[in-house]
Amino acid sequence: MMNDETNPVIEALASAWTVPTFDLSQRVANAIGASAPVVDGSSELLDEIRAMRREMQSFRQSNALLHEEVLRLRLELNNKKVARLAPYAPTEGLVRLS
Amino acid sequence: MIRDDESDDRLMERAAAGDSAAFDLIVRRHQHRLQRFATRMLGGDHAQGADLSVGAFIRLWETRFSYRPTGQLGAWLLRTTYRLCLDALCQTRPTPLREAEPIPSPATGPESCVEQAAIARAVRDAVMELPETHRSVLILSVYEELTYDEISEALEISAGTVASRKNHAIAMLKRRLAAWENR
Repeated sequence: MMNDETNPVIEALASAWTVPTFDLSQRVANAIGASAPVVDGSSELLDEIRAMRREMQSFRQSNALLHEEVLRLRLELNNKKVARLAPYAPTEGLVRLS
Repeated sequence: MIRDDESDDRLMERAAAGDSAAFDLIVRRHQHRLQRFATRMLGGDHAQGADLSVGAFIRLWETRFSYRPTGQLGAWLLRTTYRLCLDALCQTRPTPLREAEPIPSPATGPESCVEQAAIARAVRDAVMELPETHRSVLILSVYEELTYDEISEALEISAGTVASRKNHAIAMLKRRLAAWENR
């Protein structure tokens, strides 16, 4: 039976939720008491690439957090009244952040 | 020498004979699908999704001597990962699924990247509100693009049940994401 029952709108929406994946081969190799085979003897390059991927993942996570914070702040701006942050300070353009 | 196009069953035979490189190829071949499936089953927890995927591979390694070649290794791995996910979800069940928290509404502003993040969060929350039985079918069908027969094999349910659960899941998502549909 083919997977032919689709809802394009929902499936397009669903595609917004992406999840990261990692190379687990070294972890599995360690867990089963084997060591992952080295491709072309370039283990240092592979390690460097893996480190860069981890760093990129970290940047993506920071970016996602930043986006969520921007969204939160925007909602604050739209929904909250202006509040004074310091005694006697002008209230124009200020919002309560917490 | 292992060829990249060797079947999973052949690789399992090699693994049972002590060839860890053959098993490594199985891991590389299936790891990303397992991680995506587990991570989504767990609501986006990619660290635990990776842990459970490793757990599924370890179980496969432990059963390498008794594994029967059926041409369905991918289904076996998905089924094992699914069971591990259910166990993990049972252990974390005391925390309610944020029923009181409304699904985020479409943003009024123009920042598309912010809106994209909000859509992703809304989708994640809506998917997590589905029962595990329906969530697993939806993820394997919509995200992993498996056929009903493949899902049927992986989850050990009939293809008719797969179709029915997917329809229910889509209907529930449609209701929960109605605000986003015309964006």
